[in-house]
Amino acid sequence: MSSLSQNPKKTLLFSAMKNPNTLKKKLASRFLKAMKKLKYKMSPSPPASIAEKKRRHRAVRAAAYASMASAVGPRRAWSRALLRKMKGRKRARRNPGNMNTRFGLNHLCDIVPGGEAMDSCSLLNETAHYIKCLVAQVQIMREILHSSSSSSTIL
Amino acid sequence: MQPISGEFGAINTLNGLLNQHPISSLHNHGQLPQFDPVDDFLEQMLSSPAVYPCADDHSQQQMEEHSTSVLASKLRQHQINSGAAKALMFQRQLLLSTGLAAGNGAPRSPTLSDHNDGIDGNGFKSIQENDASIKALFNGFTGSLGQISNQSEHFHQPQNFGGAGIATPAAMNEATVSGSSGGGASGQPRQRVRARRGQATDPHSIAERLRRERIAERMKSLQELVPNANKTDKASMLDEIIDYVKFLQLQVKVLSMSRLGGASAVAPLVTDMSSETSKEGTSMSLTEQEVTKLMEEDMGSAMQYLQGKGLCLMPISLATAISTATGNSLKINTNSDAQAPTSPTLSVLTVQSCGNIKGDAIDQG
Repeated sequence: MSSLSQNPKKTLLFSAMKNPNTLKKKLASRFLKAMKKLKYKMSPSPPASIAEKKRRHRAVRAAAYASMASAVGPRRAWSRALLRKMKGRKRARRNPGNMNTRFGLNHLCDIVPGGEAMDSCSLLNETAHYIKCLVAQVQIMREILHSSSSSSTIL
Repeated sequence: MQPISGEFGAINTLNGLLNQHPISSLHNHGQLPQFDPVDDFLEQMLSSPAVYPCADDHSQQQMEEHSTSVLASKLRQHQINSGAAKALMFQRQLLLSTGLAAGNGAPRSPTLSDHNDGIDGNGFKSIQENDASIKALFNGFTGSLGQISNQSEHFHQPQNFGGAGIATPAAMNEATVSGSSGGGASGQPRQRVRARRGQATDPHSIAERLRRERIAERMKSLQELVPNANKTDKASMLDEIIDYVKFLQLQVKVLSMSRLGGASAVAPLVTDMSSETSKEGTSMSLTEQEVTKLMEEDMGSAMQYLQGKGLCLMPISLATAISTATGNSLKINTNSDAQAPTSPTLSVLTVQSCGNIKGDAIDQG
């Protein structure tokens, strides 16, 4: 990669970093839609058995990640990887000889989705954006939880 | 120009040796070579009479051959003992001496370009002056040394020794002697010129450096995201980042486990989101519409939704009674066919066209 080809990527990185507000709104709307879909699929009352509860939790978590990935869209490598995982397609592990250039990013590439098929530079990029989206998602889920649990009844 | 060919032969054999051994010894040892014995060896080198060329050509030729044999023997000896630094020192010595002997215009580029990958052969093709040749040699060596130092990140010292072979032999004499005294240190107060990184003509090292800078930038931006910004070093920062990502993923998992809200959790925020995105002022009407929608589907969910909002259903008579009696700024939801009067202190929510649910609402409320 020449330096010239890197500079437009850098500018793209800086411009594509969303404002937290727009990102949050997008994430929230998608997540809530997904939750609604989930609610109608499953039993509305709290499920009795533990297995059902586990399934429900897993479904909620999957909905969280799916909504995160779909809100970001195919712009980011990690969201593409997540969407691929959701659709059940192959992992597309094109490894252009990355193990030589890793310098200790081995654990990071296991955590961030789609981390193996990237070189160190873009891995760090993706990590930054992934962290941002994760933080926003966690905030949204917290707000939902607090608003639903702290509902006061006048009755 | 005749003595050059003989020296080229010597150079070629030595280059063949030096090609294989320094890098392999780097890989094999993987440790820092001891630099204190290098000082001894330097003094040895300098004490040997055959290294530096004189003005006279004939004796120069003999001295060159002698020096090459001396260097070869010492090279063999020291390669066994230590790592690549000494070998490179030998290499540099040899080529410097031959460079000074050969003078101008020697077509040395083919031999030099094939002895290390990193040396830019173009730099040597148009050598005219002695100084230029020495400088080019120096650049080539620091390029090669820089490449090797990029491969293993410990070789700060060879660049200092790379600086040793610079400029003139006299200066080198003094410089190496003074540098040998402080050989083990990082090499700040030396007289020799350190490897000028900006002038390394090696494309590989330039690309490597650019890449490292880029990675450092990204690490810095990551650091601002992650809360614990100690900025100690890269490794601990990476661990911090990994832990933070794991922690966030764990949070998502935990929050999804406690996500047992039903319609009450989801519905109000859907309307909030839509109201935020679309318009701001008519929140009440949106709530009304949402409540009507939910009432059509399921009364229970409608009640839950209202509870989530902190609202309740009550008959209008009660609402008016409360409003006139207390005068608080309560939000009261009235259910009637007709519009209830809205007082300034109370905001009353009216739901129309819900004829079938009046009785249920009053019973539940």
